[in-house]
Amino acid sequence: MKAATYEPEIMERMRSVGWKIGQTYTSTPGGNYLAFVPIRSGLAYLHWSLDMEVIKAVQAEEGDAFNGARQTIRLYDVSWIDFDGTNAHQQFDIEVDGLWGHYYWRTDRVERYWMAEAGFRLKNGKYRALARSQTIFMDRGGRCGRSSTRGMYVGGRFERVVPVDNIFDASTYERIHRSWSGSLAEDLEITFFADDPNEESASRLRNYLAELHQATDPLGVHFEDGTDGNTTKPKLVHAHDIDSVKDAAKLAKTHKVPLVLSVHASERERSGMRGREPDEAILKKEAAALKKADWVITPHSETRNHLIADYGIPEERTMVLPDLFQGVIPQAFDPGTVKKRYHLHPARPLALYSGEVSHAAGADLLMTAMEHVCGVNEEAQLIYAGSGPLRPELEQRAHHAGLGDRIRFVGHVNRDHFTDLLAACEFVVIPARTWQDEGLAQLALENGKPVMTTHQARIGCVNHGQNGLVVYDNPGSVIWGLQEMFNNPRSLGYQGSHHQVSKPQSVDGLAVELCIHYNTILSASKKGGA
Amino acid sequence: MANGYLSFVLHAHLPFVRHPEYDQFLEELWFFEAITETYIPLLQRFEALDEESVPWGLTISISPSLLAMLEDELLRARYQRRMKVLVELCEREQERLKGDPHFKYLAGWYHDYFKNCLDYFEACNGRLSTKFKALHERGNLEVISCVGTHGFMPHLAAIPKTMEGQLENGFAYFESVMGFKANGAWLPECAYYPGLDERLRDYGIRFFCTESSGIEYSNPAPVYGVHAPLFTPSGVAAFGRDHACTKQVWSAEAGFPGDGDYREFYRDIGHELDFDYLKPFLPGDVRSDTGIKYHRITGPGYNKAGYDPESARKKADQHAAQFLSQRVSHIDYLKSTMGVAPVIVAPFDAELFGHWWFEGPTWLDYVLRKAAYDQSSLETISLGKYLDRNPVHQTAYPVTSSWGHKGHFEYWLNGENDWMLDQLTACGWRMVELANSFNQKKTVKKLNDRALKQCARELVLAQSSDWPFIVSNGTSQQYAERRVRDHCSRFHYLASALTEDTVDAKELETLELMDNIFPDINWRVYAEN
Repeated sequence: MKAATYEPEIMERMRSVGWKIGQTYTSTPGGNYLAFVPIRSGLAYLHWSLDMEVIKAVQAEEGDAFNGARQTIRLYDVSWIDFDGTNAHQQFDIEVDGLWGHYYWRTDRVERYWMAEAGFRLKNGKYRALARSQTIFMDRGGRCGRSSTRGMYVGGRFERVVPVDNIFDASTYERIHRSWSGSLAEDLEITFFADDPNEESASRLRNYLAELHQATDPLGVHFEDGTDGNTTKPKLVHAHDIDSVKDAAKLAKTHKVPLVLSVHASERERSGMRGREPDEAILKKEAAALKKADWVITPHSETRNHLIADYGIPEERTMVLPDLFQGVIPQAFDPGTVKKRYHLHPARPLALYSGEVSHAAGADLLMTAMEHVCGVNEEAQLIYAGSGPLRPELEQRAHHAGLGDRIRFVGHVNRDHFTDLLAACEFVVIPARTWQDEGLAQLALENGKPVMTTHQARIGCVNHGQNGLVVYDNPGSVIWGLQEMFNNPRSLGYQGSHHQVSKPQSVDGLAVELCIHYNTILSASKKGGA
Repeated sequence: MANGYLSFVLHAHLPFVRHPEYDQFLEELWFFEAITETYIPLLQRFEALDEESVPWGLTISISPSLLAMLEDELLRARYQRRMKVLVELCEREQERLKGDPHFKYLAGWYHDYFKNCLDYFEACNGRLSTKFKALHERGNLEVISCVGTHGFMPHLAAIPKTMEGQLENGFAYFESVMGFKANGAWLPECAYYPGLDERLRDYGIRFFCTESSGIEYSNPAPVYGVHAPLFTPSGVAAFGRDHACTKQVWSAEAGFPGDGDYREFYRDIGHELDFDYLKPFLPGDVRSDTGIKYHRITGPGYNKAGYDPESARKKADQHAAQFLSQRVSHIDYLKSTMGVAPVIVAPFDAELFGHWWFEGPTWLDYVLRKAAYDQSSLETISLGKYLDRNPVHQTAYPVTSSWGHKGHFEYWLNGENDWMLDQLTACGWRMVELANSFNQKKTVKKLNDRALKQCARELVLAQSSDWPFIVSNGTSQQYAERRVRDHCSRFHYLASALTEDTVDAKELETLELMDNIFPDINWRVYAEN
């Protein structure tokens, strides 16, 4: 290893040079700039340095108008605009002094983009900026009220970045990630054919495929329409419905790649739906097409089963991929709509009581507690689903307490409406004074809803502090429990099955599934399958 | 398969403290102590885990400024010299303490400890970076980078090109030493502002860590809190630290390190024994730590009992079991509520383990081993591997935050140290002007090229977030202030010489000898054209 020290004369030279240069230190080195940096929410720091030469130049330009000009820092709210010097949401001035200085700036306008300029405000009102800062984002200092479950799939070193509609779909994407090897490690070029003699059907199919293919694009699977005249060798040819098979099979044979056939609806299904006999000619055509295809994709398992039974196509080569274009794309579940259905505020938290409205079930206890809770929490809402001896009295109490619009009695509800209510509520209350069946609590927990219950209800599946709260059958204790639940039901973190009730089938999800299918097909083909 | 993951993230960093102008320099001890008490003990334990085929995972970030010190030949030689001095001091101590069996034993224990460190250091020719690299290549330890000299990015962003200088030169130096591109980056002081992630993405950085509030206050609100990372809109993942778990480890009052059986940090013989006796072993004419500490924490008050390494080891074992059982319960609970595999992220300054908490490396070793063999709920994992296994996460902007006091930036910018930012901004602005001007020239004279590189070095050295931190902290304040003043004056001196084309080769060479960080520093990164 090298010596641990330099020669004395070198060290002396270093000290001497260091000392000499150190003497030149100046606390105001100068320049012409404006620095603007955040310190915390609502507090930022401005530091400016102005060059005398630049000021003199402006002075010369402005002439007498510059006399009496005030040195000013001008702040602009430039949130979400392309600032052109005149279109700020807001602007204001701070008078400062000196060619070099700093200023701690406080504001209550957070979650905004700000920019500043250092310059001079002339007597005639004109502002001459000499330096402009970078834009800074003045962030909030607390939790954000926005919620969204949109996510992202990011593979490796950003090899693939895919937007995800709902992170509760993570498991699907992780499945593709695990199977993402071999063929799908590289981008895939697929040629597709989507012919249909019926113009309307063809148009509907093409529109749907355009949407689906757009969703597969970021996954690295790119489609080319076979009818446009194919130029590159595809990895796979995909025919949609039997009328496309002829051309598709020809291309697949030319390039020696697998042919996949999507049967969006079989003749047997169509005839059954329309109440007619199956067309023999079409059945024959269907059989011939299926024979040519190496792999078959059907929209649901029933179609798959009958194609296997009717045409003897191999089970292991028949896959299921749901179609969205045949029906209305289901909307994501909106709890607000359900709350509005019962004339409640759509954005405010809701507790659900379900069962007999009786003394034993603690319905009155809950009402007593809610009267207090509603007094301190202006957002709390409750639905009594069910009926019983106490219902008229409690309904009247709610009305007289001025809470009729926040505590609703909806009587018995059918299964669908109950499912909606369960999905829409923030938590379920079982304030019973005596033993209760665990069914409701279990159902709530399965649906990701925390449960507030009493010790007296003896419901074993609710663990205090984990998936709900267990209180005592007295108003004080129930009030405490309700306040805890209303203030932050999510703090219990119980949303295990949340996605089960809110997840719609999405094109993004289908795109992922389709990619998995392609991967399976190509992997099998490599093994000499197709 | 485990229900979830525990991810330790150790951040190894020291400001660039190298003073060749003196034979010995007090502040260089920071570096030597960290090698002896933290880096070598951690490396030895990680190597043992690998050799014994224990399944484990951990992420460590090594700042480029620390890496530059670890690579520096002069500092390596000085470390060797220092350790020899300490070994000799221990021999003297054994002689001095021959009448006291326990303390004599401790002096011998320290002798063996220092000797072991010295042997380990010499065996790799002082190049500890090669040890980290080898561990990284084996796959369990993931070594990531930090930026340049640990500049405070949200404040350097005032002159964006100076931030770029930290990013580019830091990552490039890391790659040149370690031989691979960093997968993730430690943000100095965990300081983040929306938009910084985009800059990281441009350097291929896949993830970084933030303070828990960075995730908890994110926009939109995080579905799984700090127990799953968020992808920023640019695709870079942000992991939030789990406060409960980290407090248990770093807090001297509420955490494990305050236990009475552990070694007392503040009772060093360098401050207690006769000065004349110590003088030959001290790096200057003032008292300083020797690393020889004979007492255990015992309890409050000055009177302390003798340190017993074996009792301390047993206590570390107990604390590791306690820590792990709490994490297991937490993971089991999180798994029951989350749709994705939960991760508990526990980031710490690496120097906490060993330097501040002497038994820290032992404790960490026990946690990793117990996690491998004594339970099946969680798996220790590096952050990169976690992302490989779980590539889908919510998209949100973490909030502007740091891991400083109250999660804000006030510790690095307040009435005590704001002059530093003013100076840095002035230097940064001038550096951009210089780079713009010289970048336009068809050819840059070799001497001027060297001077521009040296300007960039002086700038990045002044930008270290450690200096304002030390001023706010009130320890070694004068040293920190001097460093900023020195680097800024050297920068302006050279900048003026460049502008006037009067660079003095001899003076430049001297400055290159003194402030030699990042030999291949790129000054053109500061140019806007």
